[in-house]
Amino acid sequence: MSAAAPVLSVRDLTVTIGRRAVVDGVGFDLAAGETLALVGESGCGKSLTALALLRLLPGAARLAGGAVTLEGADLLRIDEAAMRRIRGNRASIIFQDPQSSLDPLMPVGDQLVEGIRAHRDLPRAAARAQALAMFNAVGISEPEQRLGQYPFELSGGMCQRVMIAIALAARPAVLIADEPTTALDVTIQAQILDLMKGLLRDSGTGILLITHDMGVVAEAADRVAVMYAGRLVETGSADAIFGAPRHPYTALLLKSVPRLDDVPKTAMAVIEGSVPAHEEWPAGCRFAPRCPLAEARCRAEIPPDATIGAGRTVACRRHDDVAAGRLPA
Amino acid sequence: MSAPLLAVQDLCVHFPIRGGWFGRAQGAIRAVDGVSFEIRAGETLGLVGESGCGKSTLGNAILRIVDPNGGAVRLCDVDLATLDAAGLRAARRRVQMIFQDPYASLDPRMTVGASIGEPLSAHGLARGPELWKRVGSLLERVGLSAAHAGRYPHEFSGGQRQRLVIARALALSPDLIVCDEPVSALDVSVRGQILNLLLELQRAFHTAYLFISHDLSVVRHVSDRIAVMYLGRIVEIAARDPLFGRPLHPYTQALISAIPLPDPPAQRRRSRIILTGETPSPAKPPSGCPFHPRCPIAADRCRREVPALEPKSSGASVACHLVT
Repeated sequence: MSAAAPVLSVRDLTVTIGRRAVVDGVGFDLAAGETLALVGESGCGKSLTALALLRLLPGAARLAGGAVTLEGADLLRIDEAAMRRIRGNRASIIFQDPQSSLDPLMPVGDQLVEGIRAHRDLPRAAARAQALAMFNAVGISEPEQRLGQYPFELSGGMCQRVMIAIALAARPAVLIADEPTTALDVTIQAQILDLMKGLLRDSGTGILLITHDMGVVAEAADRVAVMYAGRLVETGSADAIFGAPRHPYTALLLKSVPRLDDVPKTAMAVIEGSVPAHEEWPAGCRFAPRCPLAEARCRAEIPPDATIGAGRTVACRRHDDVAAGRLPA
Repeated sequence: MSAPLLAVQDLCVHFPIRGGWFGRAQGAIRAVDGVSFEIRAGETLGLVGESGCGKSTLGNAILRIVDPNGGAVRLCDVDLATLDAAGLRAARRRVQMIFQDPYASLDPRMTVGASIGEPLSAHGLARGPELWKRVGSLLERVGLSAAHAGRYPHEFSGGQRQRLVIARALALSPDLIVCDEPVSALDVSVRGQILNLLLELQRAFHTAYLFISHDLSVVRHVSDRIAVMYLGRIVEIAARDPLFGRPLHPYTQALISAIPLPDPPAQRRRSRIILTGETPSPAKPPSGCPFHPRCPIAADRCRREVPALEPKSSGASVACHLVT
C-alpha cells in the first residue's frame, strides 16, 4: 500500500494566524487508491491543513512553510496559474455543506458540464453526455431531469452526490473530503461513504478524509492521522489506531465515545477539560493539561515523533505506558 | 405499574403550507402525525430519527413552544395541550427543556447567575441572598463553581455553557426535562462529560428525560426505552436492549445497521442494510406506510394501508404490516 511512491506527500506544513502556528509541522504521505483519515476535534487545524494543501487558506491564515508534493510538483512553490490547473483537475476538494458549495443560480448539470470542460477540451454535447454518465455513476435517480435542477431543489444527500461527481469529473489523483457526510443523516451517510469507496476503488484516486467522527474513520479509512491542537499526535493503520492506540489522547478519545457494546447508563471515561482555543495552547505537549500521564517534561518540551512500527508514529514520551495499560480508566 | 408521568396521545402538529393569493393555506406539513407514548417518573425515553422526521417538533409541542393541532399531552392529570397561558406557566415548572446549541440558549448580556436564577425569581420561589445561594449550589451541582455566577456566557466553553443550561433547567426541580440533541454541538471529547452529568443528575433527582437525538449510540447509552420516528410517526417503541438486539421494524433495522462503529474489524464483519432513496417530504407523504418507498420488504398492502403502532409478542410496539 505505502510501498508505491505516494501521490501526495506533505512535509512540515505550517500555517500561522498572527504569530501562532495553528498547523504546526504536519507531515504525511497518501498512496494511490488509499484513504487516509485526518481526524481531530474542532479547532485542531485539520480543515486548515486541507485548505493549505490547495493554497485556499482564508484571509487571516498564512502559509509559513513546508512542502506539498503532488505527482512530483511542489504545490507551495508553483505559480498561481499552475496551481489553478491542478485544483479540480489533479486534486479536488469537497466540503461539509454541499448546498453552499454549489452555485445557487445555475442548474447543477451546467455546473458539472462547466467543470468537465474546464479541464478537458470537449464539445458541449459530449460533455453533457459525460455529465449524465457521472450522475448515473454517483447514484442520482432520474439523472436526465436532475441535470436541469437548481441546488435548492435537491436534498443535502443529492447535492453531495453532485459535488462528488464534479470533484471526480477530471479523475483527480487526490480527493480531499472535508467532513463530507457530517451534514447528512445516518442512512444517507452510509450511502455516500459506500459510493465514495466504490468510485475510488475503480479510479485509484487517493482520499484525504477529514473528520471528527471516529465511526466514519473506522468505516472508510485505511490509515489514520490523529491531530490535536495543530500537531499530528499519532499515525498508523486504522486497525492499529483503533486496536492499540498509543497516544493518551487517541486512547481516551476512543474510550469516551459511546459504543454499542458498552454498559448503558453508567459513567463513561471522559477527557477532563475542553479543547483549548489556539490562543491558549500551552508550551510543551499541547495535550499535557488534559493528560492523566503528563509529567514535568511533557509540560516543558514538545515531545518528538517516535517511530514505533512501519508507518506508525506517536508524539508522546509515555507511549510505552499507554501500551502497558497504565492509562487510568 | 404506576401511572405514567407523561402520557402523549394522538398528538398532531401540522404546519400550513401557504402560497398563492392572500397566502391561503394550500396543504399542510404533517410534522407530527398521531403520536402516542408514555414516560414514567425517573426514566429516559430516547427519541431517534433522521432530520425532518418531526422529533424536535414533538419535543417543542410537549412544552407548547409550538401548539399542537390535536391530541393530548397529560402530565400526571393536567393536559398541557389545552392549558391556557396561566396554567401553562405553572405547568412549565415541572417540564423544562435543553436545546442543542448552548451558544444560543443563554442571553449574552446577562450574567450566567442571573440566567440561572431567572426561573426561580420568575416563579417567585427565591430572591435576594437566598436566590444567589441557590444559584451557587446549582452551579456546583453541574460541576462549575459558585464564583462563576458573575461571569458572562462568552467566558465559557461550549461544554461549560451546556452545564449552565442544565443548571437553569434544574433550578425548578422539574419532573421531566426534554433534551433536544443536548450533546450534538459539543466536541467529541466533551460529550462524555455532559452525558455523565445528565445520568448522575437523573440518579440524584429522579428526573425523567425525553432524550431526542439522531445519534443512536448516544441514545442507547442514556435511554431505558427508545422510540423510533419516521416521517411524523413512531414506527417502533421498545425497551433499549430488545430494540438494539432485535429491531423489528425494517427502518429501525436499517438505522441500527448504518451506525458507524468505531471498530474497523467489526465494521468489516457486519452486513449493512443500505437503504435506497431519500426520506420523502412530509408535505407529500407516500400513500399507505410512509416507509414503503424505501422499504426492502414492502408488499402490496403497505402501499395502500397505513399500519397502526401495535404491541407485538416481544413486548415492542411496531407499526408494520409484516411484523407479527
